[in-house]
Amino acid sequence: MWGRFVGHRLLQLIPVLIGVSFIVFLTMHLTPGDPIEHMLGQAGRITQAQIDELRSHYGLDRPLLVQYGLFLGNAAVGDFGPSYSHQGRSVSQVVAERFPATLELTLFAFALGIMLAIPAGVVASLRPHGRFDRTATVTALLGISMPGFWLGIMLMIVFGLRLQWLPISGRIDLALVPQYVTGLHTVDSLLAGDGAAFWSALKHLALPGLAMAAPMAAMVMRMVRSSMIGVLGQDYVQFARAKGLPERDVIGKHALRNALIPTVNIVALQTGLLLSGNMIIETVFQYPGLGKLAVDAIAAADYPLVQAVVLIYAVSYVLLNLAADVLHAALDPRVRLA
Amino acid sequence: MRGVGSRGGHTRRDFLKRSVGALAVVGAGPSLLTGLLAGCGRRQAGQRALRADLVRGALSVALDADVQTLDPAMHRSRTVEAVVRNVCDGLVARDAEMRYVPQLAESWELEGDTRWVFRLRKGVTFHDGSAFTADDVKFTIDRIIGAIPGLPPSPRKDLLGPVTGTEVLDAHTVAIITDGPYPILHKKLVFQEICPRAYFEEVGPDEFARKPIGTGPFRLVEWIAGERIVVERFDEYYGGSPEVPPVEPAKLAGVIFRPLEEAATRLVSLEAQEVDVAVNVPSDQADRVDTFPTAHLSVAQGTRTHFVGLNCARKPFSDRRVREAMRHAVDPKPIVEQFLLGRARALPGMLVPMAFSYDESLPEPRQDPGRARALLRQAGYADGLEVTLDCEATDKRMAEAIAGVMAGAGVRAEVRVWKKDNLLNQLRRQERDMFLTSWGNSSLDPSGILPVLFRSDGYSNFFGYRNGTVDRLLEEADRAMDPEVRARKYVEVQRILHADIPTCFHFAQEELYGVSDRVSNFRARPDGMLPMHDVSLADEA
Repeated sequence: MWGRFVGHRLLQLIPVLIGVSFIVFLTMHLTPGDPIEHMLGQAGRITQAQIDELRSHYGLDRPLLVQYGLFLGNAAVGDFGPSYSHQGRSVSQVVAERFPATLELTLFAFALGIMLAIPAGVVASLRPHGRFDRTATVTALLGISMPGFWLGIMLMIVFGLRLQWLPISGRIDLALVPQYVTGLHTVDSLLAGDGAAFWSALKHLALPGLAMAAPMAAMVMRMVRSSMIGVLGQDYVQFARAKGLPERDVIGKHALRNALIPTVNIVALQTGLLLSGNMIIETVFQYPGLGKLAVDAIAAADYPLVQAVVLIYAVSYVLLNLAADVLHAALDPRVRLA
Repeated sequence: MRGVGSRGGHTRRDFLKRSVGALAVVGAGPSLLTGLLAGCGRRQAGQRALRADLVRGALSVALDADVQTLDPAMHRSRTVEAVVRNVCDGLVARDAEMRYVPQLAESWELEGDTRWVFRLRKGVTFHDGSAFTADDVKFTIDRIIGAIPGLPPSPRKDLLGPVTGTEVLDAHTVAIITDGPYPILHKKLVFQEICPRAYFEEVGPDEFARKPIGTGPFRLVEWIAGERIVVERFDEYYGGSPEVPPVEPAKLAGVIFRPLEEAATRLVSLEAQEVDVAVNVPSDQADRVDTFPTAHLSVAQGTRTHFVGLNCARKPFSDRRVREAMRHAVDPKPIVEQFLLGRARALPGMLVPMAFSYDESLPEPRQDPGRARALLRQAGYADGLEVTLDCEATDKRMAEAIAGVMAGAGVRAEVRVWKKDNLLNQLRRQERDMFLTSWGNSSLDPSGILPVLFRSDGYSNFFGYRNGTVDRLLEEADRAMDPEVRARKYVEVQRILHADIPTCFHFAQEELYGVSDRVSNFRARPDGMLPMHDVSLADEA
């Protein structure tokens, strides 16, 4: 049942990716400005022959649908062609360089967000409208409302500049870069058994991770809190208490697990937002990941690079939703996968 | 008693197993995708830790833009040039006062009007230990002018004007040949860095763009795209131009260039002492930098002229009276003062005061809305004039201020914002009527700006401007070997342009750098270069 369900959903990825790539392809070609303009922007005297030569070199002189078809055919075998804006490099190379940084930051932000949100939500629900609840609710409100750009700069000023606890930008102390295995500095430094490098990588993740996690943590915390309050009023919780289970078990084993069911969906949706948030956060912190790459690629009208990055986002998003469905079914026996 | 999960036949172990499975899907999917994408992308795998003494002794520079290549011949980016200039020397360079000094050339002389013979410095080696010879100079120039078949065209070709070829006379003598007299060849050579032929041919253009070597004071250690460019001292450096002492290897262990494109991030990083030099401080932040306890501001006059251009070939600005009305409608001085907080200077024309042949006799611009209205009335716009002021996003606020002031003279200007390259191409096709834009001229020679913009066939003649006298004067000036003759002709052109008014509202901004107090010998330069050869760092307490 599990295998078939997951397999089916993975197959559904194919039309989704085709649809997404087509929309992106059309929007890119409809916006004013083209890659040749960008390449030749400052290049001084240009002849029409040079422009035509570049156009045909990149196949931009063909009809749109032909261009799209060619792109799709090549992309299907993992070939996104040369990047327009990164001289002499293929899109795959450029993306592969940047992907580990984004993956590391997103996973870190995800973990950080969950670790902050779930305990805070549970504690807040135990005494609704108590002091902790009110503090947490106000903090969550701030977390949701503060624009990522501003929050990022505030975190830099407070923790990087005033307190000098954490580094402002970069991924790791340059003297400690671990041997490349996965490209995730935290993982690579653990694999190399280098505690100092791990600590340095973690410290560098802290500020961008926190800025990225804030809106997600806030939403999740609010969700956990309200569903916990709902669950704690249920009969079976009363029953569990009545028969003398320790409060810790009542909360942790009986109430929380049920409260998590609606939370899973919110987490999946919010993690999708994490991905989009990283464009802003990576730009503010100059974090060398996919989000920053996408922003630059759009500015340079680097069509194939934009396509590749958007497809990665789309795949991640679909997989996140799939994971949420699977997890939902695991948590709630009433839900059947079909 | 089992947990809640047991009622549906699920044990906790099931639950855990499935959760882990689900998480694995999330984690594995993208990883698989990268695996697929990575293909040959593992070159980055060469990434490794830097030597601790290099990290400790390196100066850290926050750049305001990222780089897409490090090939000296394949860019038109000041950022790339500023970085690459530390790795690759040129035949000629400029000192901090913008005087021309020989670098890899020892001396040069003209044979006739079109043949420049350069005598090269001996005993200079590239970073791979190979000797620098005339062959490398020939290769470098030939590649830029497109004389080597099979290589992509260089966007720096027009910076060498009428250079048509090179000739190796012996291992340390090379001739550069121009089509007709070209009095400023030596000035233009500061924009070209010498590349080693053998190494280039060995690794090919793509690899060279990632890992160039040169004869400069620093050699490239690594370039991690979007993250950092690290260079370290080249101990066998010949010392650079003897006219810019000290002639010896660099003092710094290395330099780490980091693209920090957000100005706020650059400044916080400078204040927190994570970087030692922050490029391009916004003018409204300049005074704040001077209050940092551990950093100060370094200022140089800029070489980029900002201006409002008017399309002389299309209504309404084909009428000179309307163009003159624009000049009287708005004065750059108060706007520049207010918006750029005095970190800029209003100019009477296109040249900055440092430029060769700057005409000091041009009158300062003065605002006179009454005169502007009268001129508009004469031109048939008694009810005022409606126009669109086009600009790129970074100039939006300034453009809105200009439009606001113009309203006082009966000009209703609507501001329209474009993407930079998009606007530039429309301007080159002469499709816009009135626009706020700019032109950089770090050569500080009028030939880098006046012919480009104001000759009838100038490739950036945005204005549909045609004046036979200007064409002739510019042609003569570009070919006159006598500097005084050139200067006279350029002054005349400036006066004609002032009378014809294809442009108004000129100003130039200062170049502002934030510099840590532990840095000595770093100076902001008008040309935006960042030569680190003589810079040193005080030991930290």
